[in-house]
Amino acid sequence: MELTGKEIRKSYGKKEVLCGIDLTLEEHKIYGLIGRNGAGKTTLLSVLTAQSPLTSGSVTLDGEPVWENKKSLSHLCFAREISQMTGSGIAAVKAKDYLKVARTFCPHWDQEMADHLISQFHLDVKKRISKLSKGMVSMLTIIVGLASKADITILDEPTSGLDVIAREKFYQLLMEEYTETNRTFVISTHIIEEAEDIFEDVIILDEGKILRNENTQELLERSFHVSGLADEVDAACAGLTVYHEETIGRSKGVTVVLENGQQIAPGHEVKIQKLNLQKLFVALCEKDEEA
Amino acid sequence: MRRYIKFWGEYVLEELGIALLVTALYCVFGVSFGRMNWNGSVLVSVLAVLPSYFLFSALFVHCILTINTFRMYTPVMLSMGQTRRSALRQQLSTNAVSMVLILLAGWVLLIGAPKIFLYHTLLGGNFGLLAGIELLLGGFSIFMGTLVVRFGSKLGVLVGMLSGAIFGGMSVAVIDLVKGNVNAMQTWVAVDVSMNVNVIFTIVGAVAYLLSWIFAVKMTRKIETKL
Repeated sequence: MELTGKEIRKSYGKKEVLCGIDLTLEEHKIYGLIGRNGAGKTTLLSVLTAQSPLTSGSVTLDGEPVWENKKSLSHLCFAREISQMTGSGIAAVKAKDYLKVARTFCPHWDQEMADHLISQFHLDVKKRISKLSKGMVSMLTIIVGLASKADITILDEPTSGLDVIAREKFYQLLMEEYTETNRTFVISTHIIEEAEDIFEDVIILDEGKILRNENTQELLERSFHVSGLADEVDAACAGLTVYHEETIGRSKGVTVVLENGQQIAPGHEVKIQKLNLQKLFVALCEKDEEA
Repeated sequence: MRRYIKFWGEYVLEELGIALLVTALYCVFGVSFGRMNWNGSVLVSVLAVLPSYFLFSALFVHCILTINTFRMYTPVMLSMGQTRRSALRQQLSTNAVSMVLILLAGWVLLIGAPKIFLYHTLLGGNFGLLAGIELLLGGFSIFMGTLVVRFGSKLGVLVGMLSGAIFGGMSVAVIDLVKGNVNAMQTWVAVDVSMNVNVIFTIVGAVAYLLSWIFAVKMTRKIETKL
């Protein structure tokens, strides 16, 4: 089961939020979607799950359009952030009523799993959503996402507001569910350092465009921080695309991502360090900003 | 399908429960403001006005809940993978069922019950006038609910204020207008119109209700989901 987006464009008035994105989400994977605030992550996820209409382009699930297609939508779940603002109608609803709606309308809903998750998270379902803490609202989103049993489940910032213990519990539950069912998960998050171990593939979004969409480990194996004297660093990185330069006096540090056949020139007095996903993300986004 | 029927069936029952509660409140206000005839038993006096109060409560609650349901359930249903067409179809169907039940209650209370309890009916037995008003207000609430869903919560505040003012004012008018006469178990309302007015009101109400459906379908074709 593949969710494919072709030339996805989304504009609000004159502002183009998604700029011609091509994306395929393959089955049985955990994707991480990372990007700065306002990069277009939630908009992209909304458009992929027909929550928002496209300006142009197409989104299909195994070749069938997703828009207003009940059959396609039955395989998707977008567990999105819930607004607790009092002006929003949903804030007045009790958590149990929200879960009741999910139970009614999610075709593959697993009530047993939902009950188990409620007790795991100690969620008070009798409280109104507006009265829950931010973390509790995130837990509610997680419960809907996991208990929906949708083939492709998208969780938008599920760890927002969660304490470290709750986050660890979420990752554990996610991995258990993934191992058991092989569902496809897409997780958008800002807490990159913690989540990178669970992402098989990472999609880096910036200003409505995809900067990177590849296997996380392969990307990290090609990404390095090179530091030393400026001349040495420049010589070692000659011909390579350099991201995020830091210069202190005569010293310099740069981030490079090696493409096919490329290597850092040997024989120079430089320090080469592996990067984690968070540092790579910062470097890629800052490069894009400079450009 | 069974899940949907259960869900919306519970919704209609909740609406009925709230209508009964509002009816009880109206009776309390009626007694408190001395609109009941105190010559005899308060209970009998309350029974005399109960049908009229219940009819109006049901309509009041139906309209307010319609706006709220559009505002609350439409985005939630879309976020749970429902298509816009399906979400709207379910809400409008449920709305129609409630409306039919209210119209049926109106017919029973205006024609059936008076024969048993021997009281003059609300609006002098002008069922067409009543049905027209009910359909008009029902259509108004669908129209308002659609606007809120389409244009967001800023408009929602305005709609809430407008609806509150309309129905609040009507509530006061109804409590004031409908008086219970203990001795004759009669509900007095000083309105009696010709058959033509009945027919015209029914047609206008039905057309308004249908137009509100069309408006809802057109305006929600491409709405965005925001929770």
